[in-house]
Amino acid sequence: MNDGGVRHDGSGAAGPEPTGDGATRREFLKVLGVAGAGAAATACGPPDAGDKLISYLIPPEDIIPGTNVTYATVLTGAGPEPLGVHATVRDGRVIKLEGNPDSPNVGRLSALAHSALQDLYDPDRVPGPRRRTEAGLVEASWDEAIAATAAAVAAGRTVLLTPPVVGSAARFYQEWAEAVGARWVAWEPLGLEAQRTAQRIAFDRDEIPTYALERADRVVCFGADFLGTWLGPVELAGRFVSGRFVDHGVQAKYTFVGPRLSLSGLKADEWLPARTGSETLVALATAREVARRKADGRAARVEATLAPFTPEAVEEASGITAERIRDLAREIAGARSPLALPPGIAGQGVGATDAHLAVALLNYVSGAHGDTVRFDGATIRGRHVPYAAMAGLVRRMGAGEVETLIVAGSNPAYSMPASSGFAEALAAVPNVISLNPHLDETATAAGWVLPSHHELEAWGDALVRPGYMAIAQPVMQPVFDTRQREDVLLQMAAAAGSDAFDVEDYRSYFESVWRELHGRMYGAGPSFEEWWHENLSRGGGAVGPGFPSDPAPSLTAAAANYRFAAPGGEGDDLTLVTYPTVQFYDGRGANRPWMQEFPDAVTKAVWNAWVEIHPDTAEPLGVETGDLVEVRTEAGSVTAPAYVYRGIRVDTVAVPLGQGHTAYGRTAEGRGVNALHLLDGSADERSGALAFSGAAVTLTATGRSGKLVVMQGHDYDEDREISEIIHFDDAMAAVREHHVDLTALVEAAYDSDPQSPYRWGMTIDLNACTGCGACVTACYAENNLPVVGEDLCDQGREMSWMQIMRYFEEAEEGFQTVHFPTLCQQCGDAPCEPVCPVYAAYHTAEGLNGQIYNRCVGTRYCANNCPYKVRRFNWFTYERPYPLNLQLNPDVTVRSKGVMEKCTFCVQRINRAKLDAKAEGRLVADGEIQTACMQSCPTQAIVFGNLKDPASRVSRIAKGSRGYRMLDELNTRPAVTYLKSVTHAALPAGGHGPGDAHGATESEPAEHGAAAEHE
Amino acid sequence: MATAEIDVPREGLPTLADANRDISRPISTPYGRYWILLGICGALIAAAGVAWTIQIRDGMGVAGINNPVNWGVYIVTFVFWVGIAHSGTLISAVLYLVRSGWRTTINRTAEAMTIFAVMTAGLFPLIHLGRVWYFYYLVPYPSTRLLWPNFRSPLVWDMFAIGTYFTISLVFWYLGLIPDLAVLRDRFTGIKKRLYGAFSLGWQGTVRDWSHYRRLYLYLAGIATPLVLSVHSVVSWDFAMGIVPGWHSTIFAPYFVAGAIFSGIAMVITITIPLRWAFGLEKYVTTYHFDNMAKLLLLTSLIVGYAYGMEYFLAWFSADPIEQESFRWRATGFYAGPFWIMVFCNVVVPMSLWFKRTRNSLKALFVISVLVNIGMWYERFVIIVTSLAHEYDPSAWQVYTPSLTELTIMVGSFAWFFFWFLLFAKTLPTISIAEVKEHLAHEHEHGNGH
Amino acid sequence: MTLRHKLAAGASIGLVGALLVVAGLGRGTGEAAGQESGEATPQSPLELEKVKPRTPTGQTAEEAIAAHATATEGPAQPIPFSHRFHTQELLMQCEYCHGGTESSAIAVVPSLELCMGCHRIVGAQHEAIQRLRGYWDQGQPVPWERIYKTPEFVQFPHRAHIRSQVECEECHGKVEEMDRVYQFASLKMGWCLECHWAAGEDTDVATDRLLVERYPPPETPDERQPIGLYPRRLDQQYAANRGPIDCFACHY
Repeated sequence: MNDGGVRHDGSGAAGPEPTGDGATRREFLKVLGVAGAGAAATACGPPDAGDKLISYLIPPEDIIPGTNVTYATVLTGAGPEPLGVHATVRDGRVIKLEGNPDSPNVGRLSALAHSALQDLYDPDRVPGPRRRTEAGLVEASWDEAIAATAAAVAAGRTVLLTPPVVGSAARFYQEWAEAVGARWVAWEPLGLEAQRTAQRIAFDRDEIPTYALERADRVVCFGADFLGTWLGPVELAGRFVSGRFVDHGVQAKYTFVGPRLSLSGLKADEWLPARTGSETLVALATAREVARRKADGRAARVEATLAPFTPEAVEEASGITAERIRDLAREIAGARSPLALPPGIAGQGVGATDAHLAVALLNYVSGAHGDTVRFDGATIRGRHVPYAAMAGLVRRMGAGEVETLIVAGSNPAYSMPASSGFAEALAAVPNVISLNPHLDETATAAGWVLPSHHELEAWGDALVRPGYMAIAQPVMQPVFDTRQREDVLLQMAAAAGSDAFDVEDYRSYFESVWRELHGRMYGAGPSFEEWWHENLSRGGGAVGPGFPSDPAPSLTAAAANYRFAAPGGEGDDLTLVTYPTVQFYDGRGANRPWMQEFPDAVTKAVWNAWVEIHPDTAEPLGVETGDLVEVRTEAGSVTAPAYVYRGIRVDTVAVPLGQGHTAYGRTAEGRGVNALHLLDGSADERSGALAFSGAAVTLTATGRSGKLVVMQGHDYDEDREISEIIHFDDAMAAVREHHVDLTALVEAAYDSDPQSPYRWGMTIDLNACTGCGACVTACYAENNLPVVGEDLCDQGREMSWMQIMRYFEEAEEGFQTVHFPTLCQQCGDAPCEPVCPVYAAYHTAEGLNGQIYNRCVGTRYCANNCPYKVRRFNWFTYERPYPLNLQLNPDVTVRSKGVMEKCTFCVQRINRAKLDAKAEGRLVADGEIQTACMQSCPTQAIVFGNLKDPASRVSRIAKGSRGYRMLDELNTRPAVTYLKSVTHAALPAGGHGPGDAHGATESEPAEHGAAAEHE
Repeated sequence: MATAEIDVPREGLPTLADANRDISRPISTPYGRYWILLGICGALIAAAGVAWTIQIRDGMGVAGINNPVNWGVYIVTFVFWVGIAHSGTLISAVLYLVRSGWRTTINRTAEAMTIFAVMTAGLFPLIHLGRVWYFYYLVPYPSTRLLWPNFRSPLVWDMFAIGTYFTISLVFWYLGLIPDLAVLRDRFTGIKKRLYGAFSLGWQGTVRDWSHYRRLYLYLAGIATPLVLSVHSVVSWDFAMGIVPGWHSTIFAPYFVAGAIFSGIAMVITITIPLRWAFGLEKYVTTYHFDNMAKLLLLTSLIVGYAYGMEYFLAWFSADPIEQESFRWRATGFYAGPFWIMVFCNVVVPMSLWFKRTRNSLKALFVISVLVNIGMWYERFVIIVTSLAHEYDPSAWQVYTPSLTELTIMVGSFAWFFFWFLLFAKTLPTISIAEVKEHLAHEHEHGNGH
Repeated sequence: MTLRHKLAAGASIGLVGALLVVAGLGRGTGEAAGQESGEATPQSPLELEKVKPRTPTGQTAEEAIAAHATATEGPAQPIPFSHRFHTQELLMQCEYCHGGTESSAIAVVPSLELCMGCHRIVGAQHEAIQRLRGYWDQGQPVPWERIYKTPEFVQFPHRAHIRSQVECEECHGKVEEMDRVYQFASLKMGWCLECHWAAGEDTDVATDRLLVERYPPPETPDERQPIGLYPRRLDQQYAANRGPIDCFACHY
């Protein structure tokens, strides 16, 4: 806007005068300003660049100012799986990340991956090397830093602590450790050690199987949050939804077993609320019943082992009735290709290995083993030491056996439970060197802080598929005076007098590795350079044959005769479950404003941590959502606002991980509580995996009420034609008798200028939407949405153009959940348009509801009149501290105070596509335009296109049997068509409807009639 | 003057000379209290000014409004003042046309009130704009952007309706003043004389003057009368045109007009009683006048009460569960308090006016009229805020509580209103001397009683 | 795109390298620049005569500089650059310096390197050129005075206008006759709209052809395509060279 706001192009001028070495950074950015720089009039522009036109001195090759360049790279630190991305770079700044179609995430991304940009541009990153003195951290030069640290390394007894890595880096760290006589420890707080161990015991294979959810027709999950945080959510979500293709007559029935419904649990058709830690028993009992029905060779092998675990025997301990277990077993036995998923982090107790083993046995007897659970080596995750080994390290550190500890990309001081005593032990280590980009809990304790590049500034690679290596390359100039982590290590080694490496920097080391791979792959054939550039452009390449492996290894005798603990009795005390969330994962997301303001997929709470308790637990305590409760275990206690949640067992208390940082940055510090303080550090004795759940807790109401901002006003849609869910049989019947006329247009198609060949529309498949929120964050990145903070969220002033509402629908037993993405519906007959006195809101020739920011005077009438409540008003001008503003998308105006805004269907993308089409003298082709949300959706729930083309993908889908429009009775003729969610759960007559407090709608037959016609 | 020969004192009735003297006495004699009151008003206005400045500097966020409830105290107070503005024209124009003599002593006050109320109301559309510095986008003028305002928008209608109403009322009021200004011109000397002289447009009180005056006054009354209906109908359409459950109703126009007259009369009473006492005009504004006003108050109260009932009937009759839920929540939800205050003040309290004793007790009338004013403010609050807070999409339900900034500005608006009124009371006759004389003359001729 | 990808690595390195030079980071590059400037020894006037091309109107560089200094319209530039001299006298094409407008939203300001390409050799005796060289030696860009400026909320794609055969001078005026460039067009919204409205008047038969291409005639009855859906005269703004008149075309 012309009054204030952050300049959105010519980043050269953006941002205040940075200090120190920042000055040169300014210069660098300045020359990138090109024609735009001048207009950096207000807010952040440095005074001198006001009306100047700044040109390149030397134009960098292949950058045309004002146009986007895309570089392919891979993110290994954005969650449990490596994600191939295309980084969109404008004038030397990366402004957007999108999935790389050539990688296993097939072009999709997670919310956390999108927010990697805010990690890159995080103002709290350490701007340069620092040395700790009595006076605190002081600036230092790289040379002295290297010299000093090298001396420490040379002194010996060095430990290098990194996250698990796959690819060249693994080899490099190994060689480096040998070169300087150090010990390399790779560790992952939310690791897979228990599962690996279980597979080793069961099938003598040290690998993670691939779960072919797309092939399964009966899915049972014993607690893994496979759609959110476990193993590979982006990839698995895609697979999962391909197994629910109602229009093709398939939808795997999905049962969730566990004490708490996670993001993944909410998607389940059926919930077996097993007591915490009793998943093992349920799995064994089910396996036993399945084996009894199958009565085949596999069953015979494990019969004896499973014998004691009759459904009745486990009934008491698990709280699941024998019938339900039998029904489950019957359905699994009867299924073509069933699939059981193991417990994830939330279900990881002291018996973690047994649990995984039990699930493995179930898959074995059910025939899933080798069919939907394949040991094809396709799921590659870095190896790492288990928690127990870390505890060992802590002991040795405490004992002074560690002279120097180099922490590179890992933050154990936060992600180890306080009870592990890591912090104390760290104090006992003479030299602590942090190569972390942030001043996090570990780095604050370090004597030297040598900040390393962000992933997007560094070289690297990762093995993402058998024989396929993804390449990470720098997509832009370092934002701060940082160095590539491996370079720092190299320079240390050299300074420490090691001559093991004959390369001057990691890039050449890296390239030499690839030369080697090339040599191994093609003795002849393409030259290395060709191959290398090809791989760089694609973001990776084949580096060898796939792993030769038998997808169905035979069960070991050890596993066949494994002694599982006999079912115990009923525990009556409250048990604890701690779980990672989509937005914070292991805590790494906590300093990214987008992630703090990301409504949690289950609770819709923001900017805080909370304690989930069942209504029946809350009631006697007189606790309501938002009241402060104290959760106490032997290890410690935390006090946080309660969240009353019906998706959790009465005897269970759940606390999310990832908050409660004491360092790490302005956004993260002192926010929420760290659930790890509740863990006594007890581990699964077989695998050494940390027990995240199962601890006994006492819950006390403090009587004080805290602040928990929940972005959902009401949990039920009150039968208002908003969230719709139908039974699978009804859906199938509808599909059968429904004929899609390829020539007919959907009603909304007529709501654009008759002379225009376009009417932009969208379909959102509620059956596919898992509520992961990738679209929400993608929208923040694409459309320059401001983050407003906790208080303003509390006042209902959040700015997200796309929100995912979480609606509960009553089922015969329990409830079903519909994740309902709401965005501007681009109505054909929009209530917002006629009421705007100045035509800021108006109907475009292509049927969009235009919103012209610079015309808006801010009467807010449009927002009042919008029945979907998707318009957002700029109550203030929101600043973005440098360098966060470098992420702004130059194609989208940055709005300032007093202006209404809303989803535009990414009109900047539409216009760009139209310009391209114009230049080629054609119309925009179907699928040519992808909105940011559609592009990012891991389950492809969102489809965008031209409704005036009756054969376009969006038209075909919109005309499907499940299509309906939100609040259709208002006749606003939305361009967004929702597809009803489909469940196997029996629904009450009328399809839905809670017997909720606001019962006025219940008594209303008319409403049920209206609802009925959708079914 | 034709009235000269009957200028004989009769017991009880003031003479015409008395009228001149009494009514214009306040203008000459200064009060200490007066300056204090004026000072208080000025201070409150300044406070509101500061609040508005802060709001412009920081953004609308300093107000309490949020996403579902995008309109709050500002629009509530806007509608409140537009309502107040109504009685003026009603009393002066409509009652003039129907020749109801009792209007004469209160019409001047009522008209002044109208003008100042409109002046106050007119501020709020500006105050509630997100970017008030672009308010001229709403004004239709040939701009370099080649753009015009959207004439489909009720907000633009509003601008015109209120503009027209203000102009007509001002002219009407001024016209009524001219003979009195002439009287004042003749009473004073020096600068005052010259000022009043200028504004009295050389009025001589000749027959020709009077006949022109009468005709013009009649025409203006005729023009002004439809405005009484139009203005608040248009204001009501700001809401009725929206699809918000609780707004989207056909009864809004008459409902708002009735409410406006209701609140307007109440405000006249609230002001006249202290004025009468302060300026010692007991002889001129008698219980007879208050009795009539109280009856009018009672009547409009009944209409308003009927409208409340009708809203609920329509909600039920519509068989629209969303509409029904909205009204159920209005009476039982978070805002039940304001709702029942509204019902009590506007429907229950005025029922006491059935009794002549209440109508003739100025204390009672004063209390009732103040309560009615409060009730009417809450009526607008209930209509605007509760409807918005509980709309179609349940997940977006959110309540609103006014912020200090909003309240400061609201209080400031009252100060602003009374500030002008005090100035008026000190510089111009608060009762139409000419009409009173006429009235008295009429009474002298036909003796007492009506 | 693929080419870009191919070059990605090169670019990211090249970019780094180039920007190092640009930003004058590090000593090495600074020296390099210094050496370069060293090579280009000041030319003698005699040689300059040879280098200098024949000029149609015979305006000399000195005159051009003077003209820039004395011109009344438009701001004086840090370097008294005369568009007239370079185009009329030196017969240079606009695109030589301002390339990229076909492919980008923004018109490219020539890089200092481009200027130095000639001015290492040419015109070294002029004080102005020595100042230019001064910028180059310090690795500083020239802070040219900005003349045309659209507000941040206006998206103006040059490429669309170039491709629609809008002549540069329609908005920028006869720059080749300006010693000092001044703002020719008001850039007010009304001024844009007049053009965009006028551009829509004449019909364009091409669009019907385009529609047929987009929706080919039916093969099977089921695959019938909606040619009948559109009026014969399709509004060209979607497929052909016409300025859109939607607010959303420029403001978003």
